[in-house]
Amino acid sequence: MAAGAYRPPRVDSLATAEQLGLSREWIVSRTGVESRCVAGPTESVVTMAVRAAQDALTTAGVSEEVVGAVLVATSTNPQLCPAIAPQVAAALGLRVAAFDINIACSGFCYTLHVARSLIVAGSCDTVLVVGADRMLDMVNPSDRATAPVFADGAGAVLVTATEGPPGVGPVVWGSDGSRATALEMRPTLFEANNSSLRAELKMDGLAVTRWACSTVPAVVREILSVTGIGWEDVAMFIPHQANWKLIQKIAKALDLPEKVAVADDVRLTGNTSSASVPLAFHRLLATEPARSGQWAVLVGFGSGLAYAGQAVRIP
Amino acid sequence: MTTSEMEKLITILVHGENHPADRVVTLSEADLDKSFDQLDVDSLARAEMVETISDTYQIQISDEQAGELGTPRAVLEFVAAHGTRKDL
Repeated sequence: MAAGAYRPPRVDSLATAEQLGLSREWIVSRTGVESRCVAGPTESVVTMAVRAAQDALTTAGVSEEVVGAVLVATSTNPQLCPAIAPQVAAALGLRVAAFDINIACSGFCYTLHVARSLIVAGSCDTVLVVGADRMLDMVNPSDRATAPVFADGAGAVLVTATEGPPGVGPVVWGSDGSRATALEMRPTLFEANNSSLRAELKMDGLAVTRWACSTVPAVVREILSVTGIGWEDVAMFIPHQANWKLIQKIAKALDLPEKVAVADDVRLTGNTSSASVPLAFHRLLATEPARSGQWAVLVGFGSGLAYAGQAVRIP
Repeated sequence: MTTSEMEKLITILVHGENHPADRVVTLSEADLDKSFDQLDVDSLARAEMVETISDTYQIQISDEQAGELGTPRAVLEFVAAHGTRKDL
């Protein structure tokens, strides 16, 4: 497995604070977000996904031809069709199987499991898994609950069949669609077309936070159990980068050993939804280079409401 | 929980722990029945508020109960009915 990233330029939280009539300290103390990555007009979901994919291929030291399928986790494709993945494949000079998976903040972990399943089934040997989102396209800049946190970016991993022990463990995943309205786009794009309303992300932060705190720690313990490992085998904990306060609550509930590095990419990058787990993984690989061969526990959670997670061997 | 304690809590949630002296929330009788959205308490701040109330007054709050705490008055009545009084 090799990781790649594309981060648009960072914008300090002071700019968001001024826009909302708040202090920078208010944003940082409530969310931990000191800056966010904000994509410009030329940094589309496709172009960011391509850049992250190219970075992963460079890190792996392989050429595009080895890729048997391109999977993109995204929930911000501005077009309902076509999908993002075939355009990413084309930009890489590939005509392989390519499709999107839309399950928002847990999208990368869902997609990683689909990639693992394709490899285990013998459908292909190497799969490019990308998480890419332009969350700020659907965030209301005056919404205090979402505007200070959400961001844009793309992360990617290249997953390859191996003769040795598996580098991607079994998944733990699930959903609770009865809580779909807790984090959703309203009105729909079609409804917005016929009105003066703007389709935007609406978050019931109370419902989402309480669901995450009551669900995610148990999911993480289950990931360790199904992988057959304990915290002594784990070097990194990489939860979806929702906001730093929520991550700290989840980490506290898990009573993590001090040696486990907890991903905090949200503090510099913001919450990039489908891209947050691979971007956080990418940053920890750079800052914790001595962890190779140990396990990293990934877990995505959010809109759906849905969750997915697995342990991966650190390359 | 008194109205004054509620004002102090909302002030911290809306303006931060180190809020400027001129940024203090006061609640009129009519404000007590306004939704937290109307009082600029967003949903993440409500999550923080429910956690603070749960810790401070030692109340187990279910998801359903948390969802019903939509106004200052609803919170004050809930705490009066369920809480063990402590200082904020």
